[in-house]
Amino acid sequence: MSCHRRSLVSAYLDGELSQQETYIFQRHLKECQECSQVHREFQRLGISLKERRVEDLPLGFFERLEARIELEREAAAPWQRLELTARRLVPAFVFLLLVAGLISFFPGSFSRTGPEALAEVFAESGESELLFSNYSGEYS
Amino acid sequence: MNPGMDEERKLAELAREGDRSAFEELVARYGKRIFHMAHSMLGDRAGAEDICQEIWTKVYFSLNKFKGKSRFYTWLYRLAVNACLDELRRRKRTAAISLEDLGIKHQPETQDPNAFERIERLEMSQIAWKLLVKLPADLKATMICREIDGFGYKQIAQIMKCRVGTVRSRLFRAREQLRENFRTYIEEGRE
Repeated sequence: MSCHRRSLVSAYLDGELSQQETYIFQRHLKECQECSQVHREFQRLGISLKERRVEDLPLGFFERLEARIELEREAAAPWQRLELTARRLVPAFVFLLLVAGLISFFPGSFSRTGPEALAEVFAESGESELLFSNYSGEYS
Repeated sequence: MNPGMDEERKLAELAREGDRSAFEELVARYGKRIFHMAHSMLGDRAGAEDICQEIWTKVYFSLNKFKGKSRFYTWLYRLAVNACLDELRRRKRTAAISLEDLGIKHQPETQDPNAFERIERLEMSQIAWKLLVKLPADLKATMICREIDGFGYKQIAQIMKCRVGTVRSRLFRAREQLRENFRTYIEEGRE
């Protein structure tokens, strides 16, 4: 008959027992040959699996992937193509909406153009005289 | 959020917006590990490449579904494991063990309870992997998540969409089965 605590070996190996359970199980391992052997063998199997070399991707994998994605994109239904295109355009569209929103929020700022408008903007900084002198030839 | 996760999330966002180099970077970072998992699940290299092409294509067209709540790699891995499980269901492989299936040169053993200790490391690695490939799909996937990719029980539960208790019991059953199959393999090699 196998030890009734044998089913805990796996969770103990993975560090998934509570602190108290771990302490009790560690003591048990010192006394139980069966659990101790099972623990060693589980450990050894795990190490063996980890030691297997991780292979490189096959040559040309990404190029084939790109070609496949392109084929699927072409084969996609029109609404799906639209969705893919929209994903790229949405950020630009949102930016344009924000700018348009700001413009409409401040209507007075853009009602006049030319030197008068510029003078208003720079009046506080005392630069309006300089600006008028630059534009006087054009607007006189 | 740690810097690694942040960078991963930014790459995923750029790839979602159509940045080719960002998508290529994601494939470069995780492609090998996903391929290794797929090869361990399916047991053949050609099948693993096919399924990886399918996985990454699905990733490309599903990037808008990645919300950044979990790590990108966990999201990717879940997608990849499910693709492999679907493929295994299609293939309907069984978990039968036979020496002919394994095709590895082995040393004959006498009746020896210490079979594990007598096998050379490299040979054991090959045998363990071949036996892993033969496990039932759900046990195999759980073992790969834990022993090869080092996920914790909670992460495995998220990936496999099951409870932590199920992960715990599957790992125990998988290890018991591997251990038993290993002994069977060694015993059948006896002259």
